[in-house]
Order: sequence, then structure tokens, then C-alpha cells
Amino acid sequence: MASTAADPEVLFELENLVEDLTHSGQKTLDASKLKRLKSICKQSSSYIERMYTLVMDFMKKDHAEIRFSAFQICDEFFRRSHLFRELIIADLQQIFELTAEINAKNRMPPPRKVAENLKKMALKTVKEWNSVYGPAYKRLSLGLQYLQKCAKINFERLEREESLTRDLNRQIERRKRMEIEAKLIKLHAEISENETEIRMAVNALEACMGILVPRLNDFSLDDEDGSFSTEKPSTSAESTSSSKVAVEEENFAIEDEANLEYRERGMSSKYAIEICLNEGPVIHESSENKAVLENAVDQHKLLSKKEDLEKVVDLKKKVEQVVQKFKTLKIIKMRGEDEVSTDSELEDVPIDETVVLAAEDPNKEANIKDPKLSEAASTNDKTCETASQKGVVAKDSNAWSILSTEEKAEDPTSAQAALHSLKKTPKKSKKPKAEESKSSSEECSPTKLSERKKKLLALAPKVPFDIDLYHWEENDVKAPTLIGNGSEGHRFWSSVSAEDMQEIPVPDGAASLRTRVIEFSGKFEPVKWECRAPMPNVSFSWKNCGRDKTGQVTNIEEKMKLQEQHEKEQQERPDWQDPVLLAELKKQTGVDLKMPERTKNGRLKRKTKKHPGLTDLKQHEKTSFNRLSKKVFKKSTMMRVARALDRADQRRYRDKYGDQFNYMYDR
Amino acid sequence: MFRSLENARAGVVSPNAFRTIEITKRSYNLQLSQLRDIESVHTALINSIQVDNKIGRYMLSGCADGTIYIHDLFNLSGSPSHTCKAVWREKKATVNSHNASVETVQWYPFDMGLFVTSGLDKILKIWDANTLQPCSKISAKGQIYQHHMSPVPAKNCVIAVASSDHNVVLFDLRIGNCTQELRGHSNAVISCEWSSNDEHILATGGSDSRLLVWDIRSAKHCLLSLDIENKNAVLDHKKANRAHDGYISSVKFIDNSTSLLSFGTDNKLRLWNLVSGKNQEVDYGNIKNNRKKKIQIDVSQNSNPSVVYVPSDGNILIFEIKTGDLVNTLTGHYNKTNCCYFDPIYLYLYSGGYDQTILVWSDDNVQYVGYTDSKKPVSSSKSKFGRPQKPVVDPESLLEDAWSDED
Repeated sequence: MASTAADPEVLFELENLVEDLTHSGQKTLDASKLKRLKSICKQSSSYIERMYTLVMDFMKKDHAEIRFSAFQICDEFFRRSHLFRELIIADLQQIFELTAEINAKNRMPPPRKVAENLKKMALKTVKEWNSVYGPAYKRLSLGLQYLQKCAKINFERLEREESLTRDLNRQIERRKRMEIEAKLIKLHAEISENETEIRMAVNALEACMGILVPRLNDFSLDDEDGSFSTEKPSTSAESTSSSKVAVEEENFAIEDEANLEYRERGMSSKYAIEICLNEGPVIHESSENKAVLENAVDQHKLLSKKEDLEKVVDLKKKVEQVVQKFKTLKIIKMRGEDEVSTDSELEDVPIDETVVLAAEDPNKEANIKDPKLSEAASTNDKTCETASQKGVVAKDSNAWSILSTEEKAEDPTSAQAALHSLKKTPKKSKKPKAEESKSSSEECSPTKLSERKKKLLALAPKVPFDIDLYHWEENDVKAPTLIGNGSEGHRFWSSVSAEDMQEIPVPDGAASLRTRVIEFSGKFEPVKWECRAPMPNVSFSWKNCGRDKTGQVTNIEEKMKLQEQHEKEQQERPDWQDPVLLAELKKQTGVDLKMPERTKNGRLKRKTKKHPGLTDLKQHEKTSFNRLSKKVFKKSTMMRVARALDRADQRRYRDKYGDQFNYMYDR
Repeated sequence: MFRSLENARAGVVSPNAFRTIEITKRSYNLQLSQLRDIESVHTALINSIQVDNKIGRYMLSGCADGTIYIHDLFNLSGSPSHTCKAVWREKKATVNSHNASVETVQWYPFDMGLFVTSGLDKILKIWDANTLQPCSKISAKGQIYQHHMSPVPAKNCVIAVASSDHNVVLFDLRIGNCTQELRGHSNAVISCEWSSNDEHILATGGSDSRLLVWDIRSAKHCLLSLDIENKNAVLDHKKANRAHDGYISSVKFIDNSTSLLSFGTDNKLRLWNLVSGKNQEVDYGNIKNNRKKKIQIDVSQNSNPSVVYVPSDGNILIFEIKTGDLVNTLTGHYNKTNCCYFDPIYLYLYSGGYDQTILVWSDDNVQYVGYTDSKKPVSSSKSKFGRPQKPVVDPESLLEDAWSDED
């Protein structure tokens, strides 16, 4: 090693490296930086000396993490450079005080846990140093002796403790391993037990999927294109997804060309283009595919319970595939009457049903093959349905229903509205089963009710059942009576006289049985206005004012005001300072373009944190207690309070004892 | 050394000059002795060290917990590398031991049958070295910071005692009691020393910053009261002359007692001319000292130029007395050091301090190199007895850099 003159640039780099290394707050040093530091120090002894002074400076900092890292650097270089060893050994006393806490007056700085670790590490390292370099450096062995003798550090005990903890760790590890093994054995047993079951479930789910999402080759491809794109929702979904892929592939090509163009114009080709290919087919639940879906959900539940089937990899794969496939389906649940009506059917959903459903499958295909027929059927269905709905409503007026008819369908909070929206959506896909349509048509066909009655019924006001209806047919209603309380105000403590037992009629009793109380709760008014303000990227603070459909403010005055405000904001923070944009830029280019924030005086705000890796020692000081106590126990405040209290005391004494001679001069 | 030895043998250099050259060389080039160690038996910080000046075999040392130790310094093991064993120790809290810190230990200057110890328990103990029992105890009025016996043979051996009492007390060994009190200090006396060639001359330094030189035959007042600025230096002890700004931790006669060295808590070492009573104004620089008790400094004898060894804050500084140049800094102790003793016979420097070990400093590097060379394993890895030898790590190899290639 030649001690050449130090290059200031290298020295600067050295300083930065040492600072970075010591302020990382990590338990281990950054390998690449350390390597660079070593390569610098290898060049010249002057670098080593400089590095040593730097490290020692950092070791004196009141932060255990900095000291920890600094000591680690010392250790690295102690084992390499003779010069560094001599420097360290000359300052060993100080290093002991800073890292091993040998002086009771100089306690180690927080965080306490790191300090403890540092202490242990330092003692261990010094012992290692001594075992290697002790014979050559006498002062090092003297240092160890000093630690043992004067600082009363028992190295044997430290070692024993360490070995104890090591043993403990080993034991814990062993126990863990045993537990895992036991688990594995258990799992093996479970797998072998349930294998057939799982297989069956997989098959069932696959069959369900087959029904719900038929593959392309299930259809005869020689059909016309339009045949399966419009009618059957599941197949349409399939086709759209496939067509999408094609479109996207095209897009790729276009994008590539565009990239080339960009490059020609000197722009970077780094554009993150996200294309979501994984949009699975969408299935709307209907009464027809309901059973299949239910079954599929059941099987899915069954299968997703099984975990980690290591041994039967192919089985696992299969399960995963199927489950994945199922997950890609978007199932829109159907609620309401249908569910209630088909409940009894769903109760017994055996696995064999898949077979039944599979048997039904050709029927469906037949339906699809003949679009006209199916269309006709669907229109027929619609009429039936509307009719049946009407019938239901008519029934409802007589019987009590959970759905209050008074609620309007426009009110989005009402159950009616929910039903309504549901009824709207699945209509197209609805394909009621054969029996159901039969029953509805039966309901429809006997139209024996006379037209007039129908009309009347439509006109007649509907009133829910109440007390007035209860007494509707009675001509003379007895007024209800009460037993009076008598003169004493009670009926039990004194003897009962006939007078007392007289019943008193309730005032306007008969009338109360004839009247109906209708509580006025106001009329539902649908919300006319919605917030159409264009969403700003950053904050949610926009002005509350009238806007047109595109979100522009209608009122001119307000518009001007907003404009001004916007300009002001722009001045404070320009558009390109959008944090999201900046974050993306930083991610891509690695350059932080964020402008430093300014305080109200226009000065630059202090940097947020110089060394983010280090534990913030002042964190514990930032408590509300401290903040308030700073105010409350401020000297001036205390004095003011004391003065006020004194004055109050004085006044009291003056009032009480002002006439006594020894308070004479107090005023 | 060998060249100068040859020169001396050839008569080119006189034997005395050869001796001086060799002593000078050795007292300058001190470093931690590689071959000699002192067995570390001390249980508290070491306040005082002395080696008998007759044969230089027994080292006496006193600790802050009242214990006293004697080490045998002779190496009779046959190997140059040697640890000097403790041959006797007076344990803590026995009938004979001191109850408080032992501040000073001293061998009787004329034979090894006697040694004297004193400490903060206000008792001066005279020990019979043969039975290792105290044969006499003398109580003083205050805590004894230092005592000294004159190295000059005289009719009656007098021990000067500097204590927290402001009078310097003289004990006569024959009478076994106080014979004289020297009144001049206004506060505790920290250090005292007899002249090395006049049995009547005594120097004392106190916590009142006064450095007084006495002739005990004229007990009325002191001979000299030394002052930094040399004003009223002679015979006027009533006006407060100041030799240091603070305690005077140490005084030392040098150069056949024509000069005096004093060391104070103002972090200064000062050289005084005793003939004129003036400050020589040699600048030794700032020597850290904040110990309010005695500090044992020592000078090399018979060397030219002579040097002084000053314990200061963990190090021992070597200064050339005449010029004030710092020759070397001996770094070895942990924590503070407060005493050192230069053995004039074997030219070892012993030092002790708060780290409870006595370190040996010597110029034995040549010996050490020779010794390690002889210890190096011969090229045939097997010894005579066919047993494989233990691999000896060469200490020199440890001194080299070990940069690995990937760094």
C-alpha cells in the first residue's frame, strides 16, 4: 500500500460512503458500498486514516444504530489493515466506552435494544480480535484483561448465555420440524382418504362448467355466425373474449409501430401498456342454469377447502385449473321470488344432477340452433311473466306482504326498487323451465274475471287492514271503558266500594274505533341533482354549485371565482407536480422531480428526513403530553397563574382579616 | 548496542561514556515490553510503585483498597519471556493492612530489611521485610498523601510526611515519633521529597499552590518559596507565592539536587533552579492532570540528556528535561495512570493506574526479535521426538495487511 497524496474527489466519495453505511440503520452493512470503501482504502494509508477519523466521529454520535454500523465497519477493516489495527488499538479505551458501556456515567444512547445488541457484539468481536491478533498486539490483550478486571465483564458467562440461546433456538427448530412432519403425515392420510371424493367433485365441477360455458367445439361450427352471439349469453361472452384477444393482438402490432414512430422522434419507448386479457365469460344466473350453478358453487366450496395436495400433483393441478376457471366466471346472482319458488328443488341437489342437466343440454342446443323458435318462445315467456306478475300484485293486495306496495319503485332505498332493477336486467336471458312456463300459462288461461271487475279493481283504492276495518260491518260499536282510580289515586290499599269500581267510558271511544290514523311521512322526492364536478386528481375539495352535464359550472360569477382559485392553485403547484405523475416518473427514470416545498415566508422547507433508515429518537418526544406540558409548564404561564392565585388568596385574607392589626399593611 | 560495546572494548569510548550512551538510548526508546509481564494480582487502582534500589529484585506496590504487593522481578525461568510473580500480598481488611487507600510505599534506601507504607487511614506503617509484619505504626494528624525517606545516609533516618494537615511532619525512625513540624503551608500538603545529596534539604508542594524548599536545621521558616513569575522568590514565605495554579501533585529533585521539577493540576510541569530559586521557564506543553492527590513521576538517572516520565491521563509522556521536548508517548494503559517508577539498575519503567495492572516498558525489541526467531519452527516440521509440533502463529504475520483479492 502506497501512501500517495489523497485525491479530494475520492475523499469526498469516501465520506459519503462512510456516512451512508453508518446511517443505514440496518443490521448488516451494504455489501456493495462496503466493497467500494475497501477498494478505496486499499489504495492509500491516508484514506484509511481519514476513514478512521470519520468512523470514530460517527461512533460518538448519540444514536445506537449509527454506532452499531460504525463498529461493524471497524471490525471489517480491523481484520484487514495493520494501520487501522494500530489506530483502533490506540483508541481502544474510547471504543470500549462508546460501544461496550464500561463507564457507568456514559450510558449508551437509545434505542435501547440496538444498544444491547451492540454491547454484546462489541464484546464478542473484541474477544475474537484478541484470539487472532492478541499475540502481535499486546495492548489488545491488555484491553481484554482490562474489560475482565475493571469493567467486570464475564466473557465466560456471555459465551454460556450465547450457547444457551443457541441451544434453545435449536430445540425450537427441532420441535417445529417435528410438528411439520406430523402435519405432513396427517395430510398424507387425509389425501388418500379424500382422493376419490375430490376427484368426483372435480369431475362434477368440470361438468357444470361444461354446461355453463360450452367450449367452441361443442357447437357445430358450420352454423351461421349470428346464431350464438346474440341469444345465449354464456356463449356470447366466450366469443367476445376470443374476439377481444384478436383485437388486442392487432393492437400490439399497432403499438409496436407507434413505438417505432416514437423512437424515431427521439421519445422513449418505455410505455407501460396494460392489457387485461383475463376477462372471463360472464354468466347471468337464471332459473334455468340455477341448479347447475348451485351445484358448481357447492363443488367449488368443497374443492377450495382442500389445501396443498403435495403428493397428488396432477390432481392438484386439475383442481386448480377448474377452480381458476370457475373464478373467472362472473356470476350475477338472482334474488327475489324465483329463489323462493325454486328453493324446494334446490334442496336436493345430488351429484347425479349433473347427469340430468347434461341430458338437458342437447335441448338447449336445439333451442339455440333454431333462433326464430327460441325468440318466439322468449316473447311468449315475457307475456306470461308479465301476466303472472300482475296476478301476484293482485294477490298481494289481499294478503299481507313483506313488500309494501306504498313504496315506489323509483325510490332506490326500497325493496321494490331492488326487485324492479333485478326484473329489468335478466329478462333477456331468462328461460324458465318447461314446467314453470306451463304453470304460468295455466294461471294466465282462465280469464274468467269480468272486465268490469278488473277495471274496478284497478281503480279501487287499496287500504291496509286496520282497526276501522275490523269494526267495518258492526253498526253500533260499544265505546271501550276504563276502571277509574278513585279518590285516593289507587285501587288496592283501601276497601273497594262500588263507586270506585265504576267503569268510565273512554272519551270519544266509539269514534276512535271508526277512524284511521294515517301518518304523514312526506312524499318521496327523487334526487334531481348529482355531483358532476370533474374530479381533480389531488384533493376532494370542489365547490358546491350548479353544473351542467359535462361538469362545467353554469353560473358565470361562480365560474370566474373557480377560475381564479384554480389559477392560484396552479401557481402554488403546477400541473406537472402531480404526485401520482411524479411517482410514476420516479419509478421509471429514477429521478425525483418534486419541487421542494416552501413555507409561507418563501423559504425552503426543511428536508423531511435525512436518513430514513435510522430510528427516530425524537419520536417518543412528540407526544401530546410533551406538547401540552411545554405550554402549560412554561415559566411565564406558571408565573401568571401563580400571580393570579396569589391575588385571589390575598383578597380573601383582606376580606376576612382586614380589620386585624397584623394584616394592616397588606393592602 | 553491540557496536558501542565493541567501541568500549577497543577503548575508543570510555566505559562511563558507553554506560551513559546505553542508558540514554534505553531510557529514550521505551515501549511495552514484549518479554516481561507483571502478574496481575492487584484488586484496585495502583497508587505507588517502587523497586528496591539495592539489587533491583523486589517491587513494592500499593493499591487503593489498602492492599500491598511484592513482586519478584528476577527472571530465573531460563526463558527471556517471563511473567514476574507476586511473592507476597497483604490482603484487604486484615489486622496489619491499611484500612484506606495506600498512597505511598517505599523501601528503606539502605537495605531491604524494611519498608514503609502510608495511606489515607492516617497511619504510617514500618514493616519488617523478613517477617512481613509491621513493626511500628505511627499516627499522623491527617490523611497521608506522601511520605519520603532521604536516600542520603545520615545519623538518624527521618521520614517526611505530607498530609491533609497543613504542617509537614518529620518522623524519626529511631525515636518512632514526630520530632519536628514544618509550618509554612496554609492547606493540605500533597507531595514531599528529600534532596538526593543533602540530608537536610526537603521540598514540599501543597494544595495551596505553594512549593516550599526547607532546610530542616532552621525550622523557623522555609529556605525557598518558589514563584511562577520569580517575584520575591527568596525567603519570603508570608506573601503567597504561587508555583502552580492549583495543587502541586509531584515534586522531584534532579541533577544532584540543583534543580527541581514540579507537576501541578494546572496541567503544567515546571523546572526550578534551586540555586537561584527561579523558574527555568521550560515549556513542556499542556500535560493533562486533574488528580488532586499525589502523582508519582520519575526521571531517568545517569542518562544524558535526562528525561522525565510523567503519567498523564492514560499515557506516560517522556520529556527531555532541559529542552522540554516531548520524546515519546507511551500508550498502553486503559483509563488513567497515576504512578511510574524508572528502575535505574535494569532500566525498566514500571507504571500503574486505574486499570489495576502494572505495565513494564523497556527497550527490548532486539531481544524480542531474536527470541521469536529462535522460537520459529525449524524447516523440518517434526520435532526430535517425532511428535507433530503445534503450529505456531508467527506474530509478525499478524502485523501485515490482509486485503482479500475481491475487495
